[in-house]
Amino acid sequence: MTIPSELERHIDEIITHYPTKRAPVLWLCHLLQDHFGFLGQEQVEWIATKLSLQPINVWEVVTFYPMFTQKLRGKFHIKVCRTLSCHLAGSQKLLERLKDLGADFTVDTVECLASCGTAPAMMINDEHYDSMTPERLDKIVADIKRTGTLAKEPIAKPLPAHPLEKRVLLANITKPGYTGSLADYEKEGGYQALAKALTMKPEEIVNEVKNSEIRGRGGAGFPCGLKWSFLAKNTGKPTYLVCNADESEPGTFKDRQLINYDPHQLLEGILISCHATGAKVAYIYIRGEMPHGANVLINAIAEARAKGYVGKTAEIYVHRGAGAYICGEETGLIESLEGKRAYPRIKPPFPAIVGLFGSPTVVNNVETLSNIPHIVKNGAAWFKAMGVPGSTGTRLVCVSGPVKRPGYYEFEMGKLTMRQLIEDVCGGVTNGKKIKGVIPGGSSMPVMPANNLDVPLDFESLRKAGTMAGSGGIVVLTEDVSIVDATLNVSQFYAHESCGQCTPCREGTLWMEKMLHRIKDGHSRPEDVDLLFEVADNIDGKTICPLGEAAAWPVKAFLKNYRSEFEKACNKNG
Amino acid sequence: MAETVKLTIDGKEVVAPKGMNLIEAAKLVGIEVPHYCYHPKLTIAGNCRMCLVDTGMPKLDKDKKPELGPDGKPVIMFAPKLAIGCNTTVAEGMVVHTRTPKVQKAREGVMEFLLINHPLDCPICDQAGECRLQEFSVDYGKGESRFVEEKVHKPKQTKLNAKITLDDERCILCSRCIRFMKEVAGQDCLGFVNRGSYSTLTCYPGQEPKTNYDLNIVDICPVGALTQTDFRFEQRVWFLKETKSVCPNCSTGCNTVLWSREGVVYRQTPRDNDAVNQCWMCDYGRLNFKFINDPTRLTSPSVKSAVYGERVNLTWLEATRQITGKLKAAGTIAGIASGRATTEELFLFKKLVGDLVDIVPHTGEADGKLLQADRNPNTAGAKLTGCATGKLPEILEGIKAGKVKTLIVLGEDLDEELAKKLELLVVIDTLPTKATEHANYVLPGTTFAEKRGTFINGKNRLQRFNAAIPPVGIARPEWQTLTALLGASYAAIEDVFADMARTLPALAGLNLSKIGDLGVELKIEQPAVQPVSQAAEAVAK
Repeated sequence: MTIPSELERHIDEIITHYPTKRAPVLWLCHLLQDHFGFLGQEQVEWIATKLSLQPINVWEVVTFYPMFTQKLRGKFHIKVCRTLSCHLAGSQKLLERLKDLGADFTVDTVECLASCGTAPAMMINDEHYDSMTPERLDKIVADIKRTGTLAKEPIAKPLPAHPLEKRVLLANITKPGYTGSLADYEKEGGYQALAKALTMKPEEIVNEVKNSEIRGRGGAGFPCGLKWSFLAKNTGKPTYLVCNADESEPGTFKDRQLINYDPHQLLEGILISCHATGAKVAYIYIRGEMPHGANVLINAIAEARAKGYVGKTAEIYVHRGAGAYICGEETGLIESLEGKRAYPRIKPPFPAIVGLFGSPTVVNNVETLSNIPHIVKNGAAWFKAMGVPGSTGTRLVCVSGPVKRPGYYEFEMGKLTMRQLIEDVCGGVTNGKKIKGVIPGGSSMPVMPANNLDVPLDFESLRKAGTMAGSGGIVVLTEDVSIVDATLNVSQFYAHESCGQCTPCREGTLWMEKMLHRIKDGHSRPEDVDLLFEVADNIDGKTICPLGEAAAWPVKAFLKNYRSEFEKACNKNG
Repeated sequence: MAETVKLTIDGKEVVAPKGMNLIEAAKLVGIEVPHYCYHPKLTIAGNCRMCLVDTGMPKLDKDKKPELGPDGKPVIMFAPKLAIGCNTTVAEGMVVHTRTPKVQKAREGVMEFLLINHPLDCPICDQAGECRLQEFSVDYGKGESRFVEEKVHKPKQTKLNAKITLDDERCILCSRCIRFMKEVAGQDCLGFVNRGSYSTLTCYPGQEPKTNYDLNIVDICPVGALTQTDFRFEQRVWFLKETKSVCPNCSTGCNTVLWSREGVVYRQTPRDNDAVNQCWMCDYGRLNFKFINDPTRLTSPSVKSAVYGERVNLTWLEATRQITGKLKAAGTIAGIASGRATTEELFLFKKLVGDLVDIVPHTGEADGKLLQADRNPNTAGAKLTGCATGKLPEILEGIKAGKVKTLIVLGEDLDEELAKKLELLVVIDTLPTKATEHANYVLPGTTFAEKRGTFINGKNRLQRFNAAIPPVGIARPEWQTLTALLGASYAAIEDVFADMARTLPALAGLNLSKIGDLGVELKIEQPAVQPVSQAAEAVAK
């Protein structure tokens, strides 16, 4: 096995991004797999030797992340998203077309590609395809077969703003001719907030962010300023900032837009946050299924470095994931960033005390960080004036499912109800079907029945409605959707994504999936309805990380709100 | 004294040192918090979720003082979620419930989850009888199975290495073995591959565990995933008798348990003693007990007879009569004893032989952990009783020169040429050697498994061990043989020890029961470890 010298130089450069030997493991796996097509024993051992690790350390990683393969795949690796929105939009039909394609092709299903608004989505190698139809798929495959190569698939154009939107983060992206380049971003006033921030004391910025009352946009909604203020001080260790760009909660596809269309807004937010928290190094952990986004960020960082933004007060490095939803959980992400299996950590200690590389660490979502330049530039009062108390500022929501205009929208929080969003902004349901329920914040959040749609879209209102704002991924379910089938689809996701570390989630998620398969396939028993609820309840609140709840809540909510559908499915054989 | 805090566990007040976790704190008042992944000597993993307990803290008022309820007691605010006992440390005023319905339901849930993909092959599982899954199923399980799906299948009966068999279907992924190999044994070789319910314990191909401590992972495996290959299907553990013992294979003296049935020792495992071996032992020591059941063991006193052929068995009475007679007539008596002999034996041997006595050093490489260079378990005992004198070269030279004509050997071998030069050679041993072949009298002894006695380890810790099985044939403990040869009147080993305690200041005031199961540290001025004389070793070879 020989490694070309150019590749090894690249590898040596990547290694300098990290303070530990082990952290670059995922990067090296990506680079070697890109070169060799797979990660066999030779590759694993080469990486281990290169990084002074034991081969088992690398092998554990290779087998954890589904993007890595130990066997050579076909030249064209087709990955069809099988998760909820794509499933509802007919991804199964795509899979049916992908049989017997020959040795050049490998076909896999993948979990949520974060393109739910343009479902069904798929990837071939690093190319991303939106709004697929069987006919289009046939053409793509035929073209590959004819030419033997894969054509570049252009990135979709940004969606224009709806009149009811209030675009702050998305303000630039639809401006005529705006490319997201550094020059374009500066033309729109970009990096002025950084200049201002660098004249401020870190505490002043922290206070400004605290006063803005911005809550994290990743899913849990934890106040960002408070999170920053928990950082351990005077530890003698560096502080790290980590940007969580592992967007993978089914139904959510907002961070993808912020990265693809306006990366400098995010970089500016990161640089300001580094100044505020004292971090000298920031990592952007971007999910492996977003190779385009990773390149956009790498190029933007290079631009910003050339201009003296990056590298002066803080360094920013891109770290690519490799297909694990659990990396969205901040301590799972940290473990993955350290080059390990993404096993969420037991808390305490929290990352603010002992985080990345054992140092105080703050992990913030892409959208949260993209808000920071605006808060610094316009002040906390300006920010707080948007939204409602407890839910300040704007929020990006993503709508998928059978609505006329699915997509991502930016609103002042609490100023719009779910019904307005679906009916007015998204144009209502296609084909005049009735809504059966709505998942309000990614598939892990409890479904809201159709009679409850007048709830305003903010953290508190949704909590009072018995669910949560989550990641802002809204999935509309119409009357023709089988709830048993939808529950199975969601359960399959969490069983696939359970890291396997702790007992209830590891065993319970697959049990639920198997049970739901059986119920769907007509081999159920009357007692399965209660058993399913019990299993979900035995996971809920018993696990190391919130994936337990993420897997349990939707099942419990579907059972609670649509019990008769399950009973019907379970009694027909009973 | 470490700083302590007061808390309440199941209504019992507990005073626990700061930093202690709830599993250990509960143990202080006799409450068991069941757990799988937690191990006191390893880092905390928190993955099994069996130790979930309900925790609450006093509600504080504006002045940060506990708010009192109508009953005058502090109002307790319970956490919304249960907490894992292994990673929750004690706090002042904390209230912990370990048996409430909420906790019980969580445990039932975890037990059920652990068993759904488990093969439930207890009837053919070697762990049966000492399996935490079995025990906690009885104590905390639901007692019924609700799982009707197809189980996840994983590799079975794989050879982790030459010593250990791995059944991945039985594994509950607690990661104790991974942590042990990395943190204690110092070989980062085990890991999990695959994900979710398909996670599988393995080692990298060709990089199996190869330390001297591998078998400890069998001990700490709470289930039947890791079993000791040479013990598989040998015995059901509930038929085995457990005897507290001490490993006789080096000067550490790891505390052990001998597992025996009907006169056969089937395995040796470590026993907790933080002052000596924590809860580990090395594989070299653990596996080196098979000589106990060697079929060639010496079973009867015998005399080399020119009249009746090679060797004639004697009764003990007759052997004692003949030997004591000959010893009385002999001039200078020399003695070579073993550093594997008990302190009591060495004390009597010294009495019998006198000044021209020494032990034979046995050394190997120290591993920086438990295994010491001094492979004699009782060098310090030999020194204390005056048996370790450094006179071995003198004795051997004396035999060669024909000056020493009478030799008594306790548990050591002797060069054939030297043996032939002696007029009277008495050998007390357990297995045939060159020495027993040429000895005029052979007196069968007992292994450490067949007698009681004490060793003093390299750190001057006096430790006692017990008889697990009866001696073979009419062999008897050496202290009895030596007592007979001395014509002394010790009726029991306690009497020998009492005499020793009167004679040797370091043992003053001690007796066998005072030593206890964990031993006592002796105050001995000089370092007890005998410097190994290269010359002596060379001659002995």
